[in-house]
Amino acid sequence: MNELLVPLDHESLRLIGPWITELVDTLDETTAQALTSRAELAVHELATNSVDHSNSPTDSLTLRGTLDSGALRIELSDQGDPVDLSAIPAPDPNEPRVRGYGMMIVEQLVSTLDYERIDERNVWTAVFDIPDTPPTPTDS
Amino acid sequence: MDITSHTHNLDVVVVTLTGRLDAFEAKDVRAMLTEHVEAGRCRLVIDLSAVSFVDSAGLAALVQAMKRCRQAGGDVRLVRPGNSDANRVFELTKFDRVFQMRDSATELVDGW
Repeated sequence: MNELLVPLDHESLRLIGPWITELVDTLDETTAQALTSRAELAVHELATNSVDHSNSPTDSLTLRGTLDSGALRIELSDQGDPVDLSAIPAPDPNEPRVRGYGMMIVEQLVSTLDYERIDERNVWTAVFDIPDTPPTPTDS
Repeated sequence: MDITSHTHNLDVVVVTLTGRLDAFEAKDVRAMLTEHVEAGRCRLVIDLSAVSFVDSAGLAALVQAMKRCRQAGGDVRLVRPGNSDANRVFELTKFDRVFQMRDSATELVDGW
């Protein structure tokens, strides 16, 4: 389990990309780059919500990541108020709005996304399946 | 993030952004675009070709300017990010169909 503690300010969210890059560095380069770019944007959007809804400037966001043969799993937890998932409006494609696209972006990038309230913390678990690597051609 | 602006003929302002257009930078970008709009410069080409990352807050700064410019009879048109990761937000939110997007600023300025 690899852990990153992020201060809840927008500039500190730039730590997330390099942390994910390190998490996936055992994968082949093409798979790692594709997975990093997908996971960075999704985790960055979830983390931005944590910053925007934080109650205290001293709060922090904890990220925990694991990589196994089939998936990258990243857990985010913060001390913010409980999240009411039913209160997050889905954007109307016929009426472009300025805000409110964060969760729409996340949902399209993750394989699964779970939310739980545990010990007065919001805990999001995002899983990114790793696509099968095509077999290396052999001379036969 | 580096921000530069210059005005072409036909009162089209080309704004070039370089680096990350994320929640940290969005406030400055929004302020700069608001300054153009409030000064009556509502034909804006924003060159994102050297932008490496765009998030929903960065997108929001562009959408806000686009809505205000369209209300004033102008528009915000975009040079596509050269980096496919940076272009992803536009595809996922379908704003690639809302903004007029091309591969060069010249194409957008000449086509105005």
